[in-house]
Amino acid sequence: MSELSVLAQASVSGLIQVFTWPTFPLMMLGVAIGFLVGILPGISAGATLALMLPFTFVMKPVEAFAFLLGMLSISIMFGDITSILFGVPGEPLAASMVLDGHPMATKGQAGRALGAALMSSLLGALVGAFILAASIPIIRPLVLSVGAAELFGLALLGMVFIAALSTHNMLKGVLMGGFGMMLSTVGSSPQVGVERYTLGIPFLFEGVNLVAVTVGLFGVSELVDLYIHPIGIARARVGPLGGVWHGCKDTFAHWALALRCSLLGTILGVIPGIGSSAQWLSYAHAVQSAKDKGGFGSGDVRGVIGPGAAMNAKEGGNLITTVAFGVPGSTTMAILLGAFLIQGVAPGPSMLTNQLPLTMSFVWIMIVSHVISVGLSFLFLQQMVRITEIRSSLILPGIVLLILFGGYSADNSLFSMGLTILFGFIGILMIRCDWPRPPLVLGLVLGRLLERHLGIAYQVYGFSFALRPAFVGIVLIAALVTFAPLIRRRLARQAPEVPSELAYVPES
Amino acid sequence: MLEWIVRAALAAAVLAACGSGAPRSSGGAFYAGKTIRIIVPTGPGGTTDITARLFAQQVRDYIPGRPAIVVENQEGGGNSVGIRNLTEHTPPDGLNLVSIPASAGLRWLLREPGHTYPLDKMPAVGSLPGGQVTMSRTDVAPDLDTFIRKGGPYKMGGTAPGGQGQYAEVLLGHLMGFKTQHVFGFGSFAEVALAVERGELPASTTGDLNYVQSWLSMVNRKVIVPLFQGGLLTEKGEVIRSPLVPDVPTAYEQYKRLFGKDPAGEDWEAYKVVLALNSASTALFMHPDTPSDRLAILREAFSKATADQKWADDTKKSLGAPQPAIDGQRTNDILKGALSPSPRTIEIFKQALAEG
Repeated sequence: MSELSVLAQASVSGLIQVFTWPTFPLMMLGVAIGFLVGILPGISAGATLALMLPFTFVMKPVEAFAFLLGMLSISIMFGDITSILFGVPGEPLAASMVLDGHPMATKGQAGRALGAALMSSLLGALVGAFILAASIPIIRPLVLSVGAAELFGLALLGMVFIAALSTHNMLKGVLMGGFGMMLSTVGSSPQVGVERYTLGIPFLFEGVNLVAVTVGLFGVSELVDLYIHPIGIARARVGPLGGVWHGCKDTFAHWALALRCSLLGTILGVIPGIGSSAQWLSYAHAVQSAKDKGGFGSGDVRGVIGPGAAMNAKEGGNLITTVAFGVPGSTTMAILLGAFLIQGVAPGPSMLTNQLPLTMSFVWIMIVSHVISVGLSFLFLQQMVRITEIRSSLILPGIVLLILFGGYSADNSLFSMGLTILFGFIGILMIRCDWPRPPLVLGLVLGRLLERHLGIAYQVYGFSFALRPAFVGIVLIAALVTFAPLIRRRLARQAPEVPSELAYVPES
Repeated sequence: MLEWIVRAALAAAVLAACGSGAPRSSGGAFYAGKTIRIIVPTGPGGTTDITARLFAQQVRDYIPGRPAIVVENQEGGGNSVGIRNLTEHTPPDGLNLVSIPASAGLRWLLREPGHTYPLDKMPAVGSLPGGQVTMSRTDVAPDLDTFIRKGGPYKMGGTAPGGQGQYAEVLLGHLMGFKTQHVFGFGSFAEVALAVERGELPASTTGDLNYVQSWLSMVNRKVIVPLFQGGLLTEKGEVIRSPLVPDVPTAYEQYKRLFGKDPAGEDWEAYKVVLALNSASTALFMHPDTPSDRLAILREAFSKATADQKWADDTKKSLGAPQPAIDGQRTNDILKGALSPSPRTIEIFKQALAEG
């Protein structure tokens, strides 16, 4: 039997398992619980899954996974919703959604932003799952070909995108990226265990908390903004339908971007250890690939579509690596894996051969639970959009609570809450001085990856890691991405002058 | 992380299994209407965290009065933040516990920054022991004899310096005659497994549960071969095989086979400290001044939950062998010598850390 027909058979068998009793009802129960927990501030998807794990012991693997993944799907979406509506990232990885999603909400386009976020999420999840299902035969050799040197190269490639996140001032962006990298060195050195810049504070031994930094940088400035504008989050009138369907249509209008970001998310999700940067890198890609970049940062729907698609596509990639290698790419995947193991399902090559129907059922559960979560979210979107019309004085205390609780729940410490406030002030200062904030977060996320993988690559290969063909290839791509705008500009200068009345004028 | 999660999950399964149908303790009703708090010094999702949550959910049927039990994550400071919160900021009223991973014991022994709590005086409610297995790629060394003959240095992977695996590899290397060189910075031991499969690392040490779940498939495909396991240390000082990997000989057995005598000396004594900490890992501890009657109630609840046949059945289903559990008194007995080592043993640990 050919590999394709085996895959097709496994796929059908997996789909049937999803809709058998009691798998499907359990998935719906997971979605319902995730929805209820998701609307409470400060409870992350990981914490929710950990709370629910004990209930899965009496379930079969497919049932347990349906229950937990249903919960996870909707939790991820709530991260995007709080980012757009309140400017407070529900999850640190969802912070890139704040950049354009929240400005859209202030313009009275919260519905459009939410519609675009949810539709791109759904598209990302579907594309990611289908690509993964199709690429199962080559996943193992692909993942095994990416070693420490290549992971370092990929982190380096990610750093190149800082330029795209620097808005109109490259120097400031690079400096902020450097500041983020500097922050990433706080804590215990991964290679030698030496404490660095911790000032003897135990809360800093494991580094600066990413959640506290992102919530502070992006959330606190929103408080000030709301205080200044007492009319509410939306400064413009919200349309009768809130623009939800407009946002959905936007996703299809920018289908190529959504597809590219889904691919990016899937690839980054498959490679262990690099998935955490997927949403930021896809945002940077959306900016970089746009001909008219002027609207980004002030409410461009493409800045919502890119990260939305990548975020959910990444989960599919993560899942396959988790079951095929036992390498969970995130806390949530680690909890899911724990749930499998307790049922006697061990990760490994057999998950892609003998147990392929089971793996395919996981892929189907991801697809179905995402569709249900998006559908459920659409039911409540109109009500959510109305939040942006509430007077600031009424909503301000709630957002203060969201921010402080978000900071506290980073590690259940007042120190992290203080760190959130500190980075809130830094964020306000950065806005006042026109210093871009996204490069700082990207520097913090990628700085840790860079240091870890450079250390491992050097210790394993010595300096010869720089001669590995895949690494050289990635560095060449990084160089191309860096210098492409310069080359384009040079070529444009050499091209014959276009009469002004025929020149392209971007939409304002 | 995976290993921790599974261990936690198993604990939960056990405790869950013993749920409704289990006999309930009679005795004082101190806990009736009260709330027990379990502090977890790690973030949510790890084994230590999940074990605690399962404990919280399931063990209450064994505690007279069926108190509410809540779990609170207090990560940071290499586990020291949560542990110190218990010893320095909570009253010794029998209503607060902390779940301590084995790695914190080594940090405490070496007096790493922040680890200033009185671990040697804290009573344990119980623990779920876990050993370690050391493996080599078959193309590097198909057996321990070849591994020793080649001598190394072998690059071994880890998440961060100072773990039990690093000390075990260095100390056993001294005893058996091979050298190791450590590569740190991996996100988890599952990532180390990938590096070994790729051929980036020639050998590695991992927890026995992790070995069964993530590495055994590589053994079956003859990519790697187990060289020895650390085993578990009994309160009598004997080294026994971990029930999870009954077919892999212990380092003690291998040493006797190779050299025809029992291992001895400073390195072996230091290694036994690592073994003791492994043998009392994932332990639930209480404040040193906890009233003895309340400690006894919780110890009894732990023992009954883990002694249930359902525990053995459920862990066997997942791991292929029942996960052992050690009651509170035995946990303290095993740790007694390990937590008061001689200055020379501490010096050896520091040298091993510098050497690795």
